[in-house]
Amino acid sequence: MNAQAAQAPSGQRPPGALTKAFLGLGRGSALRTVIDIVVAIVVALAILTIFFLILGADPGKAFKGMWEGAVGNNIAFGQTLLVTSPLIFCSLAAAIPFSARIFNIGGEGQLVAGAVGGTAVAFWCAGLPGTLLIILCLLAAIVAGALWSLIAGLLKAYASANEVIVTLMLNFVAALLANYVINGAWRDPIAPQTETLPSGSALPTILGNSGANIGVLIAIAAAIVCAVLLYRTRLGFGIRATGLSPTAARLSGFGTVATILAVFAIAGGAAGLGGGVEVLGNHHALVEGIASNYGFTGIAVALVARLNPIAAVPVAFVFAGITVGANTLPATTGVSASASLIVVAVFVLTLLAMHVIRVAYPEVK
Amino acid sequence: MNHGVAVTILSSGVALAVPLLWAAIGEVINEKAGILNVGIDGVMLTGAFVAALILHDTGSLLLAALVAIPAGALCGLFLSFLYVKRGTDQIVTGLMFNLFIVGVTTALYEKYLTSSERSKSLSEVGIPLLKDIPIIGPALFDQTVLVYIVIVAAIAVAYLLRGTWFGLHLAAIGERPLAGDTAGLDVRRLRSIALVIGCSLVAVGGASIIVTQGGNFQPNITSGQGFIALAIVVLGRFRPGWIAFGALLFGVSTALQYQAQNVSWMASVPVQVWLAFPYIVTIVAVVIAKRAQYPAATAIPYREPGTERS
Repeated sequence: MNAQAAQAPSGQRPPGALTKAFLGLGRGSALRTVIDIVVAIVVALAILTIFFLILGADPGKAFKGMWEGAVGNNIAFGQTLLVTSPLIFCSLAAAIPFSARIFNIGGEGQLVAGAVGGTAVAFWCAGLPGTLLIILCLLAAIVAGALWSLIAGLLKAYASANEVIVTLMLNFVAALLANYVINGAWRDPIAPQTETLPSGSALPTILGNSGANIGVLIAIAAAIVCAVLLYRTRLGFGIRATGLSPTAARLSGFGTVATILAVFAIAGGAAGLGGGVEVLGNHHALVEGIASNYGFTGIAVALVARLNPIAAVPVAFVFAGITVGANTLPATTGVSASASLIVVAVFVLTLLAMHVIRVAYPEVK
Repeated sequence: MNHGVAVTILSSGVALAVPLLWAAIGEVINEKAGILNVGIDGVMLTGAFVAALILHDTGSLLLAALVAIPAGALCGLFLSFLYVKRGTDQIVTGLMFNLFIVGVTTALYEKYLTSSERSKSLSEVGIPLLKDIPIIGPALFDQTVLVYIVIVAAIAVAYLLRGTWFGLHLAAIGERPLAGDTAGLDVRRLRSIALVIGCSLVAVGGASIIVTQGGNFQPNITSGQGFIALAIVVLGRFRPGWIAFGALLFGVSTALQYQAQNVSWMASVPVQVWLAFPYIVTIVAVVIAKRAQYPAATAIPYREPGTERS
């Protein structure tokens, strides 16, 4: 059907198309995209405002609190950077597979698996000197996330199992795995978490007393690596080709099985590293609910960034700001911090409805 | 495993299968029409939330279950605007819809329902004579009224899909939308109607969690049951009869976690394994039932030939 649409004679253009093209507002033009994004921001904020009004909260006060909670001072900014890193990692875990039109919805579980792997190595190798311990823990987190992700990858590659459902289910299983570890040998006597990790495993902090750590720098580095991989390597070309046309990619010599396994390993490694960074840098322990919807928000980040790993960095920062800013809502207005999910979801849904975000479809028979 | 534990597992398995079956028979209508509604968990969560809210305000279990129908229909209308009218990608749209509903219901819950200490559930209604049959009697015929209604609903959906023009039209546009369009079917309209009906049933599934399991809402109370229903639909090969068996399988695998401490070998396995069991069974089910079984046009938005994507 795509072919038919493309072959339609130009006389059949929808009314107004030429005018729009003349004004630079045609489909796909830069100006049109900017206008669409502004519209999406306005819609998202309008829905949130309505929501505040329904709950009897003062929107002005709420938005002011969110702004100050996100970037108002050094500590707020540090908190936003702290949340930016898992969002970047989880957006990479979505962007790479989605580029091959493989829907890895398992960032949430892969992050947890990485957190479990990092925690285990931190306790097992507690005697090692700091830097070596950190590197080992982060490597373990990457491996654990990649292995967890490869469960879905192998099932898709060799058993054609629908990866959407498998990865969604593995998210729940990973949460239970973390729960098992938390209630195991390293259990904290009071809080629902493991005891504090060996002190040498803490990631170095940045920006003075902000609370931010080098995790966000690792995340930016990972985004650059993923961008190079996606746009400058043979594997990346194969991934993008598979997304555009699996048949053409296969016939050109990009093995379907190899591509599937590669994207799942990379995605799981990225999300797993995010889990390791969360454990070593943020919580200094394995805590219940460590994924806190980062996996799903990460998908939103990847979509808004149009699956571009570099673009994911600023988008993740903005979404992190919304998430952290929303933490002030209970104190300022009595509204739940989960309101941040509403803004993120409405923003992405609006962009989807306006076709700014598009995921390619298989050819219709 | 003694006899009593087996009966308990089977009978609580039937009870736990009810939300899944409601959701799955709703989803099968969507998928027959060519819509893969990944937003199903959000629709269930909506049904559960409005049911809890109405139960909290009125105390009526019946009203709580019924209010899910219009709530689900509204979700269906909203999703059909995105999936059908705007032709958005159904997987990512569904996921973002779920995220939206998690945000809305959690915020509303924290505002209005945290104080709710009401513990109320539908009571079992035994069917005379039948409920005295050993094992299957208590399991099937001494259940809440929702069990009997969902069985009737599953039969009705089976008839709707296979015995009516509407159902045959859905099957046509789910397989070959272009052929259906050429034959004069309004693909978009049919898909929207399918979504509204389907989501209404899915939302009743969410409400049935509330009215049969204590009456209290928790954030994310569906704990992925909507996604499990997606797997059940494929496992049941899009036939409500088989889907009912699939739902029962998942109900029983969920019921194991409540009985694990009563059976010595089960108690020696970490409790998390039993909690994870339904999810693992889902993965196995997805492997058994491959994607190739879906109607051909599932998850592919329809555009009339020659129209431009705006």
